[in-house]
Amino acid sequence: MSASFRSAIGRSVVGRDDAEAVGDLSRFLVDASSRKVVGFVVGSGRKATAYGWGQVTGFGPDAVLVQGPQAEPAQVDDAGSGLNDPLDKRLLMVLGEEVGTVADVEFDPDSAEVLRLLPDGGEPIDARQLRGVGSYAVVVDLS
Amino acid sequence: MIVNASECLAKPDEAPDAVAAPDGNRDVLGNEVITEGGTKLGTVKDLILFLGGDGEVVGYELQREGSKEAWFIPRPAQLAISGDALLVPDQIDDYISDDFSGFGGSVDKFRADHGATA
Repeated sequence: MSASFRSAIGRSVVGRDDAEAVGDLSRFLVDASSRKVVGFVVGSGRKATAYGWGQVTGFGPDAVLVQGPQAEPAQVDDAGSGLNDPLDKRLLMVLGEEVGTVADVEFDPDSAEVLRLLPDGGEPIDARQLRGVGSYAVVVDLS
Repeated sequence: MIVNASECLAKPDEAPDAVAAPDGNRDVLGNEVITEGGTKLGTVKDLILFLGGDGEVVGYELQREGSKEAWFIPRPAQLAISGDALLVPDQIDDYISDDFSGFGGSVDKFRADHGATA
């Protein structure tokens, strides 16, 4: 089973232990080296908090259930964590040629594995060609 | 509703807190019902009581999106409850029914399959 980042953004995040609505999923955090979704952010700005993917107990079409405490906002800051959201970032080849932007990302919620990058107006890119996800761009090796 | 005697009634300031000042998260009407897998089954429209005894809540009437009909689910020991949502086990989905006349059977089957406190 696969899911896409775009379709999951805005989904309600609910605490598994207390059924409290934590907020809405705003962006995913990806570790390019392992090609894994390592967590996601709830909310935005200074009130943003994050959960590690290991805290997810249910990832369904209507809600994401989580367990345990969320990270402090400072820990999910892109610059501080080194983890980034590839959505809408420039898509660059390893030699710097821009080939579009990342319109969506497919992943496996069970394994957290990133499967494919979906560029705007291009063919899907296998995640094994992913080389980096930075705050400025996503780098792929299409050779 | 018929009670045993008028002495059963109490003034709000004399009633037990559980009745006079219940926690806000005790009111499940309007709560979203979400499975532990993250699927929304609907919102709680009403409670189904077993008449007699303690008036046990044996199920919920659900309002499901895209359906004007009433749907009923047996009440499990919900995983968690708040003022926002009511979490239920994934397997409850198999016992949802739009047939109230047969709802007692759904409750019995659910309890036989999973126990009264599944």
